[in-house]
Amino acid sequence: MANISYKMYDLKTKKYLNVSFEKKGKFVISKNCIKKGKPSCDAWRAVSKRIAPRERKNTAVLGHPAAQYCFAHKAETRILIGPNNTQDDFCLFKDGSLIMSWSLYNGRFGK
Amino acid sequence: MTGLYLFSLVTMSISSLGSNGLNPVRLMDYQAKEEIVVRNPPRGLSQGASNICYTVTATLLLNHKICQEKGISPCSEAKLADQVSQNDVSRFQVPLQENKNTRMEYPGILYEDGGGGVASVLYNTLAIAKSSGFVNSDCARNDIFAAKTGEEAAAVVSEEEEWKKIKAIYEKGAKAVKEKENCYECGLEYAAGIMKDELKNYKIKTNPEDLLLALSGSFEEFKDILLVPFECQVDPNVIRTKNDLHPQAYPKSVKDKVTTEEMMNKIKSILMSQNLTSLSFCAKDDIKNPKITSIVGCHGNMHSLAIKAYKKICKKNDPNSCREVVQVQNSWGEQWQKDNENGWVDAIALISRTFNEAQTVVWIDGGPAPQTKTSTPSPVTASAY
Repeated sequence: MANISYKMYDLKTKKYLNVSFEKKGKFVISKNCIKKGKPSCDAWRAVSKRIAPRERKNTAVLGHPAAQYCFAHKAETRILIGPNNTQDDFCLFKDGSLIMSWSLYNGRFGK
Repeated sequence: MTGLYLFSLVTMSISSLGSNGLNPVRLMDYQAKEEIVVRNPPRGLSQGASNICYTVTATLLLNHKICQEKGISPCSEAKLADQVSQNDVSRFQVPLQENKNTRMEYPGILYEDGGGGVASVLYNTLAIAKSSGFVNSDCARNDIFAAKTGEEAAAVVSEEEEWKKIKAIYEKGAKAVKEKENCYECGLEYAAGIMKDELKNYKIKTNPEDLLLALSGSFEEFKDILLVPFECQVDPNVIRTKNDLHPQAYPKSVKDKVTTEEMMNKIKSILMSQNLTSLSFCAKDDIKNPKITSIVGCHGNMHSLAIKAYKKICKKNDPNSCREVVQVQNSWGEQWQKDNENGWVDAIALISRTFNEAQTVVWIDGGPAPQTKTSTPSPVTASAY
């Protein structure tokens, strides 16, 4: 997964945008995070933050652990469309950078 | 020093979360003795941040049936227009009322808690679909919702804070529309303004006319518009099936006491008949402390997923050491499948988390009778999964 492209629905233009990602260690980060060959963005800074999952209330079900974990980082959670219309979840940060939610979650909680 | 010790304890407690009862099994280490595979499974879906695992699971079962009936293969690459919208299925939580089984008579979403059951959602969806079809996933997409950065909830349903905001928009709008009820044009203008301003952060595929109608109705109707616009609920945006499909559940009722072995056998027989099955289980990491012995005791940690294959496997270096595994299609995105042995998990550990309770296994009966295929497979290799 050196380079992979997903489609993200853009709320402003109401069209799909192609978003490219690359793998930095075990983290899948959007290419707009890479500056001068090094990751530098909100998504990358989240990697080093030791934040516990948010406590869930008033719900009978578990939910999606990694997608929910985006909220603990004050990021949005977005479903992006991969090859053959597969779906994966990403945390979208204020600066527009994205990280695959499972890579952020597993990076923090070990897998 | 004490502070450091406490910090270590806290860190340890959150540094490794478990597998939620889904224990992946590396098939390469084993040889398969028996296998049952449902052919042509549908594409996986993600529930995103919303509490709709049971809805996604129900949608997978429906999509598989649609592929079977319409001969779509591979189902995993079906056009979005040929697959059911999980947004639409998520609406069908509320029990049907007698003799009211069309879309226009259905109240839509009433719950905010999340949760629910695959069986009841399927029952309602299929009853409505008989007259009104299924909304396709091209028209009512599940990947187009987002909230402002840093705020709670971007999802389709049930994120409490987000719905509070939407409810505030509705209440303000409904009040204004009521004040303008004698002036349709004024109402339309107001609805257009709401779409442009308050609802700008939500992708709402609707028009001021429909929004005005929704603001004139209940909050539930308003929420329905956000999820599934009216235009998606009519041709050509609906999928119709000819077959009489109906949900089945096992064990059927709380009176039926079954063992884990009987549960396993039932799942195998469902897969043998080329049906996907759903499984609802307690996904709390540690169910022994405090000990959980029922679904009621697992409130807040229930989960549903689809099962699409079964294998009995034995260790290559110890043929007498065997176990049963199932391949699940989870609603946690494609990456979860990749990270977890493509969904192959320990079967007994998973099934025991149903506590063998009523309606934890649900599937759809009916449709074309596919040819059954079981086999004693050749040794499993990496490419086999």
